[in-house]
Amino acid sequence: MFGRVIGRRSIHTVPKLASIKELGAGGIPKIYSSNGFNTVWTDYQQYLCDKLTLATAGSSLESYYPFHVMLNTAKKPFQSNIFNLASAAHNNHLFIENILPVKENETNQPSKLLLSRIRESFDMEWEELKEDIVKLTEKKVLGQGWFFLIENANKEIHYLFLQNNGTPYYFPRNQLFDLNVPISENEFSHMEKVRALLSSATKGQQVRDWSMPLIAINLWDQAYLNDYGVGKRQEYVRNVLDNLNWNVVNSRLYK
Amino acid sequence: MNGSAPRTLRTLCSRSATRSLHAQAKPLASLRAGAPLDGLLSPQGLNNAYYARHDAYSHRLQQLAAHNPELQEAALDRIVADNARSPAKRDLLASASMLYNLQFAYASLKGTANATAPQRSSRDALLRTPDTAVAFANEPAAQGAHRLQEELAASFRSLVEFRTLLLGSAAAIEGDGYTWLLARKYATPYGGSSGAATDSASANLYDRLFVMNTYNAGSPFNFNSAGMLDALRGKGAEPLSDVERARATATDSSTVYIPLLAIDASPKAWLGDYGVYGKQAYLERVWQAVDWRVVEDRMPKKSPVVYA
Amino acid sequence: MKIQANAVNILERTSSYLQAGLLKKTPAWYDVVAKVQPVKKFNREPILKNPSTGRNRSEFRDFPEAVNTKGLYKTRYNIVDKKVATNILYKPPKLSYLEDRLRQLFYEQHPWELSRPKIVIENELGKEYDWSHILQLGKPLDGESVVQRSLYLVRNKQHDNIIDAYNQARFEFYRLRMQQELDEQVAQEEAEMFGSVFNASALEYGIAQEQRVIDQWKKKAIKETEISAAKRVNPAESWGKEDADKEGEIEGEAGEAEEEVEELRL
Repeated sequence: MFGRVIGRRSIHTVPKLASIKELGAGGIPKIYSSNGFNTVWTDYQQYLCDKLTLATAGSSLESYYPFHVMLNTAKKPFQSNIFNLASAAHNNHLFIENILPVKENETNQPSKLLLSRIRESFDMEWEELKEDIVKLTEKKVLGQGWFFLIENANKEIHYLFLQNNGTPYYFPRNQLFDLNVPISENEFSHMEKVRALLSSATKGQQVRDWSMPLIAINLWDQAYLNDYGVGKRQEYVRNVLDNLNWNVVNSRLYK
Repeated sequence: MNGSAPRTLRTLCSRSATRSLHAQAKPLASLRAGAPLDGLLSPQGLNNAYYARHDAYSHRLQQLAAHNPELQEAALDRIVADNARSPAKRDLLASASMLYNLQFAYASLKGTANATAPQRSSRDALLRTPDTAVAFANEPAAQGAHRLQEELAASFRSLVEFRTLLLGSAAAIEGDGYTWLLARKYATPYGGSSGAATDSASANLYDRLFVMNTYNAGSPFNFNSAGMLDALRGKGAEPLSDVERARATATDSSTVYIPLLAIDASPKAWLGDYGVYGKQAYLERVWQAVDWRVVEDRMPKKSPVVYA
Repeated sequence: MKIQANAVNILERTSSYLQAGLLKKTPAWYDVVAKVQPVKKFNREPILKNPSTGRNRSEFRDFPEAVNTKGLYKTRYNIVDKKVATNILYKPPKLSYLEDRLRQLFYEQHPWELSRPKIVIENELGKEYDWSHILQLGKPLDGESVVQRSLYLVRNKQHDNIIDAYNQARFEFYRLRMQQELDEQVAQEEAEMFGSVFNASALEYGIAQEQRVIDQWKKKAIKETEISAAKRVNPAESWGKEDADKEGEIEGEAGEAEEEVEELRL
């Protein structure tokens, strides 16, 4: 019996949340019910950690955090399955962090710096940007994916819609475009630019991608199917964007 | 979620795989809204997996084809084949392809009689020891599809190898997608069928079967995008590298594959009934639920010559 | 010769010197040795049981019941047998485990499993696994899993002999390896279909290198072909010039050969 307990211990473990009991019992107000929260975090994160453990046990990757596993396997096509798991585990944690409920007596507003940066980068206010994002969700991501609002090395804010388990941290593995359907010339030229960047990088330089995520949203079925249902992803994204934990998002911005 | 009026049964258009858009708006006759798919999906699960998606895709398709009566009459696979290379028609292509794939996949399922309802899988499911059996309850021969059984043994060396490849490929898909059983259409190396109308008896022969994955809105009719990037590159661009040139010459974009079976690997199909850990359990039950006679009906005649 | 005990009774001697006042300062090693005292056992004890197999080592070896080369039958143990038997008891026993034989068999049958790198550093000791399933969370799937799983199967009476248990474990292992291979290939395909960009793989890099050499060879081959075709068409033209050209050609060829060598080195 003791052996069974030890045998169930993963190498990669689900990160501990301070309020996990309340969240598990009551979900996240206005976004998730208890069931929905348990599906996307308690079950899905455990699933990702277990699969990552099974994939990396016994190799040097077993002792890295998912972020470092992801960076390490990003350039190796034969380790794409490990990359997918590590990227998903990391992104899911970022997502839950930025929707953790705020205590009642605390303020929850985007900082002035963030709002001004958004105004500069997009030429519109945050509310308008939110509407654009919600409208684009169904168009940009047909199947599964992630949404990220990132800040790059030049302190510009961009947003990315990633397919499946792409990552915002490394250009060649962003997975921005679905090549299962024909792509436009713009999208193609973006891919060619990334290809050129990668081939010039092998001649000595590294691919320099300093993108840092500010807002993360999980667009996988595990995140919204339970509470919202098929075809209701836009409603879910709107709820998430309306109820972000701005303290976390503000702290992610580089001052 | 499903608050619509009870659906009436429609007859399945049995002979051809191609149907017009108007007929598409009606779901398959073999399934009933509000009833489970025995042994595979509960009523809510079937709604998530099939009806909700079917309604969404056909609604979108109707929207896009609103001003085009020609398009409304066209068959789904024709729409997919015609718009394979045009980014402007991406929406149309995606909706048509996804609707076709969905209907194709669920038309091949008949459910398992006397089976237990699907159970949510627990964390132990990831560590479950694989079953090493080589014989299965639901085999084509058991349903009378002997021609199919022989062909599977010929193309994949044995039925257990075919099953492992099919279900394993589906299990390996991370996101949305389908795993297909395809028959490669027989074509002589000197371009036997020159496009002119040949008699249907000899036109549709196959030589071998293959298993293939498609992701999101990918389709077995347009997965070979060999010429697409070339067209995008345009004139005056850098010449292709040697490897790209070799790939382009090695793949023959004129090869046609006829789909026989599709298995849905999307989380929408298994998440509701089987839970986050339940994909493997769902795939095993899908095998139990396949209607091999429908699959055999889709199989054309075999050609006397079989290429490697 | 008398047993030399001065090394092992160093603690006693040092403590008596300290008491007597011969040593002023306590040596640095004194407390450590006092905590873990040296073993004073010099007798060699016979080891009557083999700890790995549990069998009695004090049994005599069986002798054949058939007639020997001299035409006689052996009916009892002789003095040589008894000496050898007694001698063996004082030697360290040969440890033989069934696990080792299974491992030997497994890696003979699957030599390419040896190519998978294995990290032998352990982060914790005494890890217990539940072998009712062959996949374990903290341990990679390899030949060791197959061996442990087959022992579990035979201990829990799921098979009555070790070979059947080993075969069962082996087939489970194959299924999991097939799934791992499919996972890798499908994940790579999926990544490319969703817009991941990869650099040239090792094979592609090699092809590019080879192609460079082939391209140069092609240029030279075309030139040579043109020259020999021209000679064939009009041989008379080259006759008079041959002697004059020969010296020039030889130098030219030597120069070309050097160039070729330099270029091939890349």
